[in-house]
Amino acid sequence: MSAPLPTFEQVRALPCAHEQVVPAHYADANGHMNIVRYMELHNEAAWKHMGQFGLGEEHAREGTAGSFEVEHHLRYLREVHVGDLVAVHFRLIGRSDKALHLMQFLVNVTRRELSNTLESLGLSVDMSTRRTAPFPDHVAALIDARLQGDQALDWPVPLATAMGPR
Amino acid sequence: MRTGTLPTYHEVGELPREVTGFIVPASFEDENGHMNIRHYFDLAARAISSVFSRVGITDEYRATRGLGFFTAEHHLRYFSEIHVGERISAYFRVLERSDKVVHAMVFLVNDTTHRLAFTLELIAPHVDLGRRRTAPMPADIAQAWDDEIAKTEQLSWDAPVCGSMGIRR
Repeated sequence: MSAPLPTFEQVRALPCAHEQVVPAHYADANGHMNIVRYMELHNEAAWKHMGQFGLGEEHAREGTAGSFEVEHHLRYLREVHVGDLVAVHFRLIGRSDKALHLMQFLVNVTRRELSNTLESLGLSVDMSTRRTAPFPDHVAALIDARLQGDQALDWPVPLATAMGPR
Repeated sequence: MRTGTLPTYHEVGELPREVTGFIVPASFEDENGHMNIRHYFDLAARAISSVFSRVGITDEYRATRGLGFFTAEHHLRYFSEIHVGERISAYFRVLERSDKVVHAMVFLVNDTTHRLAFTLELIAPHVDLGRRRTAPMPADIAQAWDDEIAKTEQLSWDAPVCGSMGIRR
């Protein structure tokens, strides 16, 4: 079974990668934010925070380093409504020489609750061959600096599957 | 336990097809030079929408009966890159249902390369839209899901489920 979910305050203490108000056109026939928008918000956030580790859009474009997603697990915990302020925070979980495991948390700042989690496994890719390759040293060092803090946090990551670096 | 074996392109083709030969436009490409992950999700969502409409979950159903489906959980696996100009089809397999929950899987295949590109496994609870809580599905909707399940009874391959999702009974 999964660990208990973190509190709103615990998630808010993590670095924030993206924040926005939910516009009217994000609503669907069920009267709440459509599921495809959760993924869009996570995707937007991921491009931003991966840039901190040398794995952002500009790095992919330059061909210096890249990362391809291989697995995602999303849990939809609370409905999100038009006009709510939402934010995506992230926490690194672990890495191997080629794989990075992390979780993104979508919180509803307006309602002060955790709305959704995205657990992610990405692989380091050599952009010239488009094949997996070990993280470049400078990327690995940036990841490890952040991992040290994230692994020392006093709350467990609410993992839902057996996903992880092998 | 995760099922290790993935179905082949042709095995996936035995399922009901919900999106046919969608050609990936240039606007779907990201800085990695391939179709961005959110479009995998959008194409799968299109397949889900197609099946749910067929089963009877329409605007009329929501409006007249005050019932619908939410999503509780998704598991996504990306198996191969998709590039601009390639043709993509989506297939749907209903795995099981209870009185309140449907467990199913979407498969995206690349018709240009004949490869399985992506799977999305989902758990969808039936809900009372007024109370915003799970509620049993009516008999006609339950029957429609059973008809979808019957379409896959002859399949010779197991769905590659993540192993941690399912229906709690």
